[in-house]
Amino acid sequence: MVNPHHSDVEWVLEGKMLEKFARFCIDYRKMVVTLVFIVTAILAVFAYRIEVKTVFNDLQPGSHPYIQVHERFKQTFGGTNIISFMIQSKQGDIFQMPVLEKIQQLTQGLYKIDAINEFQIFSLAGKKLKEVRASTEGIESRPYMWPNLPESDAEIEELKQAVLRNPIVYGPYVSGDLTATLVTVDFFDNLLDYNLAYQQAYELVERLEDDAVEISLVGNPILYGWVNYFLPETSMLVLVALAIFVVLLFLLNRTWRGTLLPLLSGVISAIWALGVARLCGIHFDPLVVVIAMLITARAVSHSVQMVTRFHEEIDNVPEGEKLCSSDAAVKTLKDLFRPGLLGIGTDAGCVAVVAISPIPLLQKLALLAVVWIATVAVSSVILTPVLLSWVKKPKSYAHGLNLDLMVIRPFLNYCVRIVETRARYLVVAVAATVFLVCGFGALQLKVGDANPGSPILWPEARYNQDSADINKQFSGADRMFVVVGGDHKNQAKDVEVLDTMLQFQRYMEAQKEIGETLSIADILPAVNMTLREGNFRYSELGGDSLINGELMFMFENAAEPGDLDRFVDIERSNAAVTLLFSDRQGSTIRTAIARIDQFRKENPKVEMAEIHLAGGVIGVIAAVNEVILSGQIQSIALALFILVMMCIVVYRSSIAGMFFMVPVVLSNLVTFAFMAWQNIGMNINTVPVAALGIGLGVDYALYISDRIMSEIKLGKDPLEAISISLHCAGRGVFVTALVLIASVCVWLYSSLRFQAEMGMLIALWLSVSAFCALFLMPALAYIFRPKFMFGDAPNQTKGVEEGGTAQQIATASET
Amino acid sequence: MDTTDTKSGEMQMSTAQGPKKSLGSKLLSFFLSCMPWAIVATLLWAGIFVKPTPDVQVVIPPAIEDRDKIYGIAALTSETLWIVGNYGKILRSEDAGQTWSGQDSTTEKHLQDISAWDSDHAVAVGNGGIVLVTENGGKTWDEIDVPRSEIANKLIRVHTYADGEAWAVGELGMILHSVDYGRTWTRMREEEDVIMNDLIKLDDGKIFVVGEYGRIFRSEDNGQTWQDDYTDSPSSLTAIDFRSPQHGVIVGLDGVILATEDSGETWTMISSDISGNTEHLMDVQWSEQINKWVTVGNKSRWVRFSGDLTEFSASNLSPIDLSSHTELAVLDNGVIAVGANVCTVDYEGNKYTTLGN
Repeated sequence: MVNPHHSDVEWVLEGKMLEKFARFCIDYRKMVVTLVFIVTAILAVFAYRIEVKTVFNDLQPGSHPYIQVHERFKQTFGGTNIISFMIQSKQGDIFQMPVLEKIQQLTQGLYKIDAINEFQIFSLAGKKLKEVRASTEGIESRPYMWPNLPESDAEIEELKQAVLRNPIVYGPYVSGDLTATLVTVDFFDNLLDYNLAYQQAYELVERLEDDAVEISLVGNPILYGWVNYFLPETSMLVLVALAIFVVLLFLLNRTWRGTLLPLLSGVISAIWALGVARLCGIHFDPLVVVIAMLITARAVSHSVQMVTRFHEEIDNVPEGEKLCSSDAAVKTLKDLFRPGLLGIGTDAGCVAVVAISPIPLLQKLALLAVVWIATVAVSSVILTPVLLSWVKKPKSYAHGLNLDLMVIRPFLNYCVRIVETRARYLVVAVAATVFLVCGFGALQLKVGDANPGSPILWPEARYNQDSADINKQFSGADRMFVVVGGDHKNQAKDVEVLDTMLQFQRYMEAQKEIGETLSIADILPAVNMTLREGNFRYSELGGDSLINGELMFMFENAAEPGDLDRFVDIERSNAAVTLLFSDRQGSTIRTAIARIDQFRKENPKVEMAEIHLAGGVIGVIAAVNEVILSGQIQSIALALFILVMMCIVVYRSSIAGMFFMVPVVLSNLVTFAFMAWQNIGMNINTVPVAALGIGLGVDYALYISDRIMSEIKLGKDPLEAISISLHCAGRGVFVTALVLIASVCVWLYSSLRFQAEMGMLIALWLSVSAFCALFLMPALAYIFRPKFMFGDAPNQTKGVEEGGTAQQIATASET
Repeated sequence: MDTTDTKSGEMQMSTAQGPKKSLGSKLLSFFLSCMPWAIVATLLWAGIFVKPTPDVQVVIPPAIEDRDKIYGIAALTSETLWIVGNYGKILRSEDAGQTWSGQDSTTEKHLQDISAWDSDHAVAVGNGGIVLVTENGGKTWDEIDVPRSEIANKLIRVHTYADGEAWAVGELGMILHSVDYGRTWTRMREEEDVIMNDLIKLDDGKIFVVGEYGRIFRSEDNGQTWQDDYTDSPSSLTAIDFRSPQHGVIVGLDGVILATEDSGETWTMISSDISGNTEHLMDVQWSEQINKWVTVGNKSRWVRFSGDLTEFSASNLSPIDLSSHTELAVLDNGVIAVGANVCTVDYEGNKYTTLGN
């Protein structure tokens, strides 16, 4: 083995240094505390000013080729912030005066919404949707009902016929059964304020909805508006979680110090992290509140470890001797500094791996999380013992309900019993089974959204209901565009290019989730057919580029400048094919992208006009999913690598690395399997939680193991060491796990499905980690006796009657 | 038992470092010290190089896709159907359209019509003057060279008659004739800027061709000479059919219906007030089953009318389907129409089904 264990000399030296450091902190405690509070006060000013918002651009991996195409063409071919309104007639079709009036009012109302792009309003009552018809002068086009509504039944009938004639309108903008119409509007991304858009859009809808029509609306601004809408509720949940946390901690620890110090640690590290974030210009995404909870949980659990250890040191002072809080604090700091720092280091290291993702949101989040976790070193590991050193009556308790005696100790004794009896094999066997089952389950984890509708909200939320309604009537509200051509001017008039586009559209439409596709190549056959007296046999492209150029020219001539912009650029070099998706599920998008690649391979013609992927909402999600998929294994493997290396370096044992991998791998497998089972996909929202969870499993195990090691060094036999460790470090683990799981469960009642699910995940994570630390790790340690923990003292178990000794210790620690 | 197990395991571990090592424990110790590093190396390797490949659903496109335009149909029986359409699509069904099997047409050109002599021999025509023939029920299709124009060559319809005879019509006044199951073709009329939309050869040898601008061309000498008849219709005529040597009907754009009761000597135009339809009509056929003319056209319109031209009933094939149709075939219990989709409807117009998707 390489560096199998610490030599005792090293151990002593290290202990001396730690003691010096601990002594220094306590001796200069006023200075330390003043310093911490000054920094806190300064950072609090900044933390207070942190912006809480979602910046959509941050969700896009800027270097991804899809995103580059998206950014270049989004202004004309359709961005990610399109809002779709569906006006559904409650009785009969939309071709009746009351409904048509609503369509017009809604369309006019759009102009009052801030930041809308008025050139990107598509509505029957807008300027951009037009009917094309033949006339004596060739071809003319006119808006359906702009600026005026039809005035008589005959005109309404004429309008209806005009809609039916136009495949660009009948289908994409008017539903097949004629009972609903779609009005879409895009925004100027840089001016868009989600909250404002959300508010104004719903105001408009509320004003117009009546007995005649029902209006549904979807789109990213609306979705993120909903997230912000629930912000007060989110804050409320944070407060409730906090209250549960304080009450439980007070009940269990029975002291104000044991309650408030962990709380203080959490608050201070949050202030520091948010203050630094503000200084770095990072905003706070409301969706990452759960992550804040996750990190605060780390701060709290370190602090609880400190408090528990402090109490133990106080309890260890023999009767009659003077109780000295500062001595106990020094001892606490000295002994827990290493496992605490190692826990923080591994957490931070694993989180830092997230920063290799090209998604800015994740990079910023990784930075925020690393800073946040690092602050725990000060706020919990140092500050808690320093503050504890001031405790005047360390043996007094604030209330008489001793849960330690009633619940915690019996439970911990039970943990010890498991190690000392054959049940330890059962624990390992159970863990191995869970490992295998969940390992298989975790393979089913999906990248991308796993359900139709938005996974951020519950299925019965208004937004998801609206989304389902729209997808029922229309082929799809979410768009992706691909860009064809781009080699030379007028390329989009080439018959090969147009033909390729049509073939491509046909190919893509075979996938059932792609409801419809639109391109300039759809318009030209319609123009051609119109010119050929409406003969359906001529509903085809012109035979050569010249004719297609003419068809396009005729259409342009009849239309207004800019009418073709959403299909082809001004140079007529790049043409867009817009694909309408009925859902955003990961598998849907992956299949679509894979089929595009397949099409490119199968059609040599494509070489005449390259197909560039991909813009629009779906294009961006596709890019994000690809990044997540390719980074999925990467981030987990590298995080594990960092964890293993840190353990190897600190304990100077390669076995240590393996040993501490067990709880991490197990908790991650269980969580991933749970996600797969519950159909929670890996997407832009869940990835940060999953990534931050990787390092999460190890802290508890580190405290337990480190304590076992210290006791062994003091000459205790293994079982005794394990028992002591479980009763001290184990108590901390049990208490924090209990308190945190209880407060995290508050999230289950969130109106945001995403938060509820993430709350569930974190609770699961904490449970598995606690299980590992309390049952599995001691059992493994006892069964395998790794040398970095137990050294190679040959007399470890000599002459020890296993059951007996442990029993004695257990009873001893109870008294 | 477990105690001993543990102890022996622990013995191995502790003796591994001892001075007297057996080969076995040396190997074990070596293995144990290598394993962690192997795992570390694997992690690093996985982190840097492993890129998972996405799982992708398999998509099987339906025989007739939404975008497909099926322009022509030949019904050998009510069960055996042959249809052709855009991008060289040829499909055949042996079960009245429940299932379709694709045939390799070897072309990407749009095919406009198909006609069959029997279940082995058939001919299909289409854009760019393409003519395809098969002698084996469509297992293979051969492209046939035919006389072409310099300007435009779209062939629109083809009809087959006994003993391997066939007639095809198309753009620029094209009328083609074959007597050898479509192997060779002769142009039967000089170029003229008029689109010929349909043709019929009656049992008595008379041939009628209908085309653009309401024009009718008639030949009584098997196409050697043509008589050029103008009708009252300003709109193009698209299809013609006869129910007896005397009684024929022509339909056309804007809902035009012309009828003759004197073997095509005179044609009477039926006003749209009577027919109840102004949409383009693209095909017409006489149905023995209901003793009525059946015609289909744009936006799902179909008109059924009696042989004596007294009763007309115009409606949509289906209230929810507004697809345009170019051809129809009469079957035992209804008609099948092709165009923007392929659908069947019973003669009463109650049971509407789209096929192939």
